Amino acid sequence: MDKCIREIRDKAQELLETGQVEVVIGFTAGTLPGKSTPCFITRGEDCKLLVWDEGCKNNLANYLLKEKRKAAIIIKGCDSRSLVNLLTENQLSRDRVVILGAPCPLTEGCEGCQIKSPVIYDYLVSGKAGKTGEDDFHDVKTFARLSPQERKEYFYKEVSKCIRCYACRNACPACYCRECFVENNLPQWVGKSTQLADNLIFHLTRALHVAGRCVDCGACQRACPMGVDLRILNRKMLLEVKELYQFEAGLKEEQELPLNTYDPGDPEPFLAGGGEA
Amino acid sequence: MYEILKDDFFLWLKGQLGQKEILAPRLKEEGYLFLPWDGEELELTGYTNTLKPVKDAFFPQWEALIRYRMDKGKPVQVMGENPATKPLILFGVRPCDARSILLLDRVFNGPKYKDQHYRERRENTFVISLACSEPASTCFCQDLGISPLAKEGSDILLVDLGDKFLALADTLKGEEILQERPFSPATPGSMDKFQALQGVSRQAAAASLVPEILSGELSQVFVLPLWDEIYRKCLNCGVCTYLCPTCHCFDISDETTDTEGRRVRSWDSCMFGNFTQHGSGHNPRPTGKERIRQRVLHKFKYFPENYLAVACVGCGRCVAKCPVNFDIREVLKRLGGCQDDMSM
Ligand code: SF4
Ligand code: SF4
Ligand code: SF4
Ligand code: SF4
Ligand code: SF4
Repeated sequence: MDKCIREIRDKAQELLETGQVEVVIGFTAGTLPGKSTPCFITRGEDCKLLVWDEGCKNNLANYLLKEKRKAAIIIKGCDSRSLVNLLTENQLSRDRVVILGAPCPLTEGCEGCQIKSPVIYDYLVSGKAGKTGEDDFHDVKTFARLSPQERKEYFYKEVSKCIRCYACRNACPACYCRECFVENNLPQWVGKSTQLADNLIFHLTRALHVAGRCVDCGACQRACPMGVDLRILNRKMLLEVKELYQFEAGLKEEQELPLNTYDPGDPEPFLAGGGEA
Repeated sequence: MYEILKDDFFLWLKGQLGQKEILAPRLKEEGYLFLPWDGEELELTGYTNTLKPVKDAFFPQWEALIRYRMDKGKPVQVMGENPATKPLILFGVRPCDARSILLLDRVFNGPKYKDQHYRERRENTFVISLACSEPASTCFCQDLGISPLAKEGSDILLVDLGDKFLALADTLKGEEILQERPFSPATPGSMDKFQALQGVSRQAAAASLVPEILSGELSQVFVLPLWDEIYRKCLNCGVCTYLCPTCHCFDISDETTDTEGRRVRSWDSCMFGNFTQHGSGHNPRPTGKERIRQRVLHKFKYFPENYLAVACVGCGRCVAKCPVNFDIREVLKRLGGCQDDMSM
């Protein structure tokens, strides 16, 4: 990683000092053991404060949505998929962003992660690009074999821990709606209590809203202060989308989003009679 | 000062179960939480503080204030909700959280405004705290002049002396209990031990983290360039305020069906974008900058001006749980003129 961080710092400094960007979004040392913290660097000499280590866990793609300056961003595999998503959804303009891709700094990595290196970048730091394998979704398939009762119990247990702080949603680069349904009060779609029903509606709706767009980066789960673990739900949606549409989110800039397109010939198995007239 | 053998104390506590509900720190998957205790052995090794603050017992995350029914042709019926009235013992509160109760009292049970629900719960609750012997790395009560051995806000504070607890009262209610068996007056040996502990904690207390500049003119503090920098990484979530023992903002919403409904009060947070959203669409705190500034200044400037105390007790929950490692200690240091730290 030493070589990697040297390259990152040098490139970032060069981009700032040559005026190609006004800000570099990356990580610097945090105040807690094992935590690095997102930072916004505007002076070339400050690039020495950049780090790339185990603690770099946040998905930085999120920050580009609010950034008005021309920015360079240092990203790993899953962040790059979020970026692709944001580009295909027209939330970002490609020419305002310089992408500094780097290999995922987590030695353990996340279970099931197949994309440890960026799929999109302007500069690639020490390492190789792209996809490294196929996700076999064995966790989803194993979970599906549990009885409905057991599956329900799992979800109830997880969502009942939730305090509705929305850190998961706010950390998620796919959750960028200006007005989220949970905040809408005319009408109020979901109650503000932390009763099971309200918590379930929040989580199930969010899972559906990010279906076909979630890149399984884990940012939501890591942000949660209460240890709510609903990754299996997101992964189930990933698998559904993959099987129904042969689509995996955030892999190619040119690919069309399955839920954003319509073709009269689309199969409609969920309609009565399989959609046949 | 009093003392009690630990075994005797837990027997006594168990004896209270008949008339009172007891909440104690219980270890769950996600961390320690105040949960009902029914007398089995408490596992407190490794307990530094609860994940959720003690405010939940008085000012719960959500509660129904009233219920109502509207039948055609009949006047609207309004039913008031009565908060649970079974007397409660809160056991294992940490001194920082105990102090936070006194701060919430100023808001919800002060001379100007009395919140009926808060007050009923508060008056029904007996607080037994546990002094801290091993603060966590995120604890900074001492930097705010609060001692990990402080009894303020507790009816009874227990200090761990090995096989016994030293017991101090901060209220008349507490004193009355300590005067009776199985509590007994502290022996000189126990008092010496306590004094030694106090000495250590006093030594550890550094200069206050709250910078001078915050007692100055608001017009100057409000426009510091620091606000333009520190907010950028913040996600505007509810973690730091929901988990804060002193944060007390709430929202009120109506949940209705065709004929009936309830009015719900739930925690709210100045970190949320819509916290100050007006009906007109205008938002006086349009970006994260104004929101972070509000959070910091409310705790360290406005609250002290309104209620004569800093609204942070140094529990460190916001530091430990912020998803992006926004560390309020760093903000205070920077406000105090410490070297520029990129990590903010
Ligand atoms: S839902 Fe979670 S895992 Fe999926 S993109 Fe959003 S933050 Fe990442
Ligand atoms: S971050 Fe966790 S506690 Fe907060 S809303 Fe999401 S699941 Fe609930
Ligand atoms: S400071 Fe941290 S915990 Fe607080 S709102 Fe911002 S991201 Fe959330
Ligand atoms: S601001 Fe942070 S450290 Fe201070 S009382 Fe609130 S949660 Fe605890
Ligand atoms: S810091 Fe924010 S949420 Fe907390 S009490 Fe103040 S205004 Fe309310």
